[in-house]
Amino acid sequence: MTAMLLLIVVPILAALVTPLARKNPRALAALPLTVAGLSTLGFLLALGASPLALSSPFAGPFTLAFTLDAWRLLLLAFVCFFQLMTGMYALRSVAGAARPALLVGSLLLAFGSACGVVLTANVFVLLIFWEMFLLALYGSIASGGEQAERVALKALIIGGTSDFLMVMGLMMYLLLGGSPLLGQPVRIAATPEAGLVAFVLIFLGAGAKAGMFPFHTWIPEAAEVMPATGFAALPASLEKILGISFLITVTNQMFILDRRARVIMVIFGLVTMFAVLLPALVERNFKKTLALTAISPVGFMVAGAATSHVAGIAGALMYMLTHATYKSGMFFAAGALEAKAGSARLEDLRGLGRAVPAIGWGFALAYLAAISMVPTGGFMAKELIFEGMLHRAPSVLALLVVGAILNVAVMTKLLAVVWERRPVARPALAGCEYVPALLLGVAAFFTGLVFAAAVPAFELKVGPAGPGGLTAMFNHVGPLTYVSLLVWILGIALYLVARERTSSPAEAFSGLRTSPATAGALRLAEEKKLDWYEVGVKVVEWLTRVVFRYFERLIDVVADAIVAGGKAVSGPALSAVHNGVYGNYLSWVVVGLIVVLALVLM
Amino acid sequence: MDLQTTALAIIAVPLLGSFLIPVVGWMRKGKLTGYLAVALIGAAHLMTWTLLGPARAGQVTSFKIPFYGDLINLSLTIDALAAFMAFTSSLIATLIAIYSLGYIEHGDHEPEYYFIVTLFLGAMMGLVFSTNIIFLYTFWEISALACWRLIGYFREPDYIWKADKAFLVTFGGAVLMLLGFVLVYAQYGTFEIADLRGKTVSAVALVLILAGVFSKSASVPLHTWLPDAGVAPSTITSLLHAAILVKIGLYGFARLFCNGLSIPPQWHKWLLAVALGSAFVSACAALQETNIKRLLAFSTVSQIGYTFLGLFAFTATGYVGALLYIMAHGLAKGGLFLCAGIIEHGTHTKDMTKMGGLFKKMPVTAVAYLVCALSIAGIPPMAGFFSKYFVIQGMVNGGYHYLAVGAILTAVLTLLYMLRSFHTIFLGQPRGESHHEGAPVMVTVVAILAVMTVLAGFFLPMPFALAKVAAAQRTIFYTLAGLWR
Repeated sequence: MTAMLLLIVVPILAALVTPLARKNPRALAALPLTVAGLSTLGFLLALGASPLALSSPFAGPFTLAFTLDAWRLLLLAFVCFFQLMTGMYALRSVAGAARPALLVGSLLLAFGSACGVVLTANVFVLLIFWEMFLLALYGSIASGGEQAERVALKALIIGGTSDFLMVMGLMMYLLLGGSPLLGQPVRIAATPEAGLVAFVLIFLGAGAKAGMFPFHTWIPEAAEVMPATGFAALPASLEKILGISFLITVTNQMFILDRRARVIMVIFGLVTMFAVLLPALVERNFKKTLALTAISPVGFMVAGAATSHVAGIAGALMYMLTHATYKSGMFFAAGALEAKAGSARLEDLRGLGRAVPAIGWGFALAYLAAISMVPTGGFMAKELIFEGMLHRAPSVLALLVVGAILNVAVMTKLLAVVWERRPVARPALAGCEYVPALLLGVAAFFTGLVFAAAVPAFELKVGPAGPGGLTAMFNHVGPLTYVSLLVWILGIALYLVARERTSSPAEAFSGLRTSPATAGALRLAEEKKLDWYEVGVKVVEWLTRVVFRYFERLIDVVADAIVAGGKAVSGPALSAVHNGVYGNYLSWVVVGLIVVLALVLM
Repeated sequence: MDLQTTALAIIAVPLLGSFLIPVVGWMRKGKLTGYLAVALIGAAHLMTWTLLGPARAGQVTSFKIPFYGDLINLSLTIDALAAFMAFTSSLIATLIAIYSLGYIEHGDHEPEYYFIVTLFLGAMMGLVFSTNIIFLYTFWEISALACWRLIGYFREPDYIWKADKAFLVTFGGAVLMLLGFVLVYAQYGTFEIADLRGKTVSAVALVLILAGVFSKSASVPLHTWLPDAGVAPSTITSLLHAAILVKIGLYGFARLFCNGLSIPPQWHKWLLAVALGSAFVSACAALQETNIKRLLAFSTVSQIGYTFLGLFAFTATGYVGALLYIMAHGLAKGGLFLCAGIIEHGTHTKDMTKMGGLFKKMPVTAVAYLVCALSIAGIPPMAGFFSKYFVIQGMVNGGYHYLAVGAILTAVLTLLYMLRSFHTIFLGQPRGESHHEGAPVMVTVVAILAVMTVLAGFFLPMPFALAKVAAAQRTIFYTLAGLWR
C-alpha cells in the first residue's frame, strides 16, 4: 500500500520542484519520464500485494481512506501506461510548448492526483484530488501560451462550477444517510425529491469531469491551443477514466437509481453524443475533430451506465478504457504530425501517415478500436452497452446505433486524410515522437484481450453478472453482433458517399455547411451561441452590473449623503457647544449621566 | 506564567507597549519603531501559542478584576474561541507588521503608523478575551479610533473624508449597539456575558446590537466604508480585512450570541437571508470593479457574509466552518492585500485594466496571489475549501437547503471574479512601463502567507480540532437550553 501511495506522492512532489528545473530544458524534458518510471516501479512493487485498506481521520467527513483492489489495480495499470507514454512523448515535445515548466508541472500534478482519485475510498477525499487535477488541467491548458489563457480560465470555471454542484449533492447525500466511505447506497425511490436532487447534482459533477454536455464546450477549444502532450494525457484519457469510473461509483455504489434518474441520465447521454457529431463531421482542424469525437463517446458511456444493467455498466467501463487508449494515441499522432506540418488543418496533414508509417499504422490501429472493430475492447464495450440498453429501453438502442454510425463516419474521414495517397516529403521524426502513438495504437487494438483477462476486476466493480459471468455476455455471436457489423458498414459507406462529392477526404461532409437543414445549427455553434458558458458569462455580467449600479452604488450614495449630512449638521452644532467654557463640558457630562441612569432604571 | 497572566500580558504588551513607540520615534528616527512594533505584536502572538494546548483540551479559564463595583469588571475568559481568534489575528498581524518594514520605509509618519497598528492589535486582543460587555465595547471603540487614523494615514482631503466615513458608520453602529447593551442590562441586570447565557434577547435589543455588528464587519447595507478604506496603505487594508477590524464584528457576534445571549429561532432564517444577500451583492460588485483594492474589499464583504452564514446556521458544523473561515480568509485575504501592495508599488496604479502580463516580472507575487485567490474561491486543497464546505454543510444540516444553493451560486461568482482578476493582472500582454518584484521582505511575507494557506489545508486537523472544541463548548450550553440542532 505504501508503494501505491508513492504513485500519488512522487508526481505531486516532483510537480512542486519543477520550477527549479525551468532553466535546464533537458532536465525539464526528462522529468515526466523519470517520474513515470518511478511510478511504474511503485506499481509493479505493489502488483503482487493482496487487497489492502488504509484509513486515517482528517476533518469531518474527509477521512483519508485508501483501498487497493483488483479494479483499482487495473485502472492504475492504464494510468501508469499513459504516464509512461506521456513521459516518452514529452522528451521532445516539451521544448515546443510556450510554457514548458508549467506544462511539465501540470502533467506531473495531473498524474499524481489521478492516482489519488483512483486509490481513495472516500468520495470527499476524491473531490480534493479531483480539484488538484482540475488545477493541473488549468495549468496544462495555460502552458499553451497567451492564446490558451482564455480557454484555461473557461475550463477552470466550468470545472469549478460543476464541482460546486457536486459538493452540494454530496452534502445532501450525507443527510440522506449516505456514507463518505460508500456503505449502504441511498435508494432514490425511498426519498423521492431530495434523493433525486442529490443524485442529479453529483451526476452532473461526475459527468462534467468526463466532458458530458453541457460542460464540454471548453474541450474543442482546448484542443486547438494546448500542447498535444497535455491534451492526450488529460482531456483525452485521464479525465474520461476518472469521470466515468466515478460515475459508475455514483450509479452503482452511492445510489440505487429509479426510473427518473435513469431517464435523466439517458437524456444527457444522448444529447452529449449527438451535440458534437455534426460539428465533428464538418470540422477542418484535425485536433479539434479528435476533441469533438472525444465528447461523443462520453454520451455512449453515460447511456451504458444509465441502464443499471451489468452488461451496460461493464460496457461503459470497457469503452472508457478503450477510448482513453486510442484517443491519447491519436492525439500523440496528431501532435507529432502537426509539429512537422506546422499546422493542424486537415488539408495540411493529408497523406502524412504514409510518409511516417509508424504514426500512420498507430493511427490505423487506434481507428479500429475507435470504430469498435473485432477484437478490440471497443467491440466488446459496444456490444455490452447495446445489450444493456436492449434490456432497459430498446427504442434508445436505435439512437445509440445512429450515433455509432456517425462516429464511424467521422473516424473514417480522419483515417482517410492521414492515409491519403499523394506525394508528401518524409519528415524527420525522433523515436520518442512516434513510438507513443504506435504503442498506444497497438495497445488499443489489444484492449479486448486485456479485458478478457481482467473480467474479475470488472465484475468487482459492476457486481455479479449471472451465469457464465461477463465473459458469457460478450463471448458469443448474436443479433447484436450483426448490429455492430451494420454500424461499420453504414458508417464507412456514409463516409464514402460524402467523399464521392469532394476533391479530397478533408472536404468530405463539407456540404453540410451549406445544407439548409444543418447550416443554421452549425453557424450558431460556431458563433458560440449554443455554448452555455459564453451565454452564462453574459448573463452573469448583466446581472452583476444591474445589482452593482442600481443597488450597491445606490446604497453608497445614500450612505455618503447621510454621512455628509451628519457632518454638515453636527459640524456647526459641535462648534457651538465646543466653546472652551468649562461649565459647558460639565453640563454635557451631567446630561449624559442622567441619560444612562434613566436607561438603566428603565 | 499561568493562563491568567498570559492573557493579561497578551493584551497589555501591545496595548500599553504601543505608547512606547512614539517615544522611541521621537528619540531616534529610523526603523527602530518598526522593529519595536514587530517585537510587541510578535511577542503577543508567541504568547498565544501557550493558550492552544489548554484550549484544545477543553479548558476554560475565567477571572474578573473588579473595576467599578459589581457592574463593570475586567472579566476575561480563555476558552477555545478566544484562543483561536487571538492566535489567528495576532499571527496575521505579525506577518503584516513584518511586511510593513519594507512597505512603510521612509514614510513621513512611521512612528505614528506603528503606534496605531500596535494599539489596534492590542485592542483586538482585549476584545477577544473580554466577557464583560462594557469592556468589550471599550476595546471595540479603541479599534474604531485606530482604524479612523490609519485610513486617513496619507492625509489627503479625500482620504480624510473616507476615514471620517468609516469612523462615522462604525461609530454610529456602535452607539446603537451600546443602546442595545443598555436594554439588555435593563432586562437582565448584568453586563457579564457568562451571566447572560441562555437568556433570550429582545427583538429591539437584537436589532440594535446587530447594527453595531454589521457596521463593524462591513455587511450590506452598512458596508460601503470598507471599499472606500482602500485609500489606506495596503498593510492597513490588509490588517482591516484579514486580521482585525471586520473580524471584530464576527467575533462579537460569536461571543455574544453563540456563547451568551440566545436569539429566538424565528430570527435565524432572516439572519441567514441578510448574510446571503450581503455575500451576493458584494460578489456582484466585485465582478464589476476594476480597482484591485476595491475588488478585494468587496470580496471581503462577500466572505464575511459567508462567515456569518456559518454562525447564523446555529449548527455545530456551521460554527466550525465559520471559525475555520475566519482563519482561512485571514491568511488568504492578508496575502492578497499584501500582493496588491507589491503590485501597486511596482505599477503605480490600482487600476487592473492598466495592468497585464505581470507574471514574468513578479512571479512570486503572481503565484502567491493565485494560491490565495483559489483559497478564497474555495478550491481544495487550500484551507478556504474546507471552511466553505463546513459553512454550507452547516446550512444544509440546519435545513436551509435553498439558502445553501444561494451560497453555492455566490461561490461560483467568487471563483469568477478571483480568477478574472488574476488573469487581468498577471496574464496577457504586458501593459505600461517596466515593473519589478517587491522588496525581499515583502515578497517573503506574501510567499509565507501563500504557503500557510496551503498548509492550513493540509494540516486542517489542528485548527479543526480547536474549532470543534469551541463548537462543543457552545454545544453544551445549547443542549442545556434545548435549542441545539
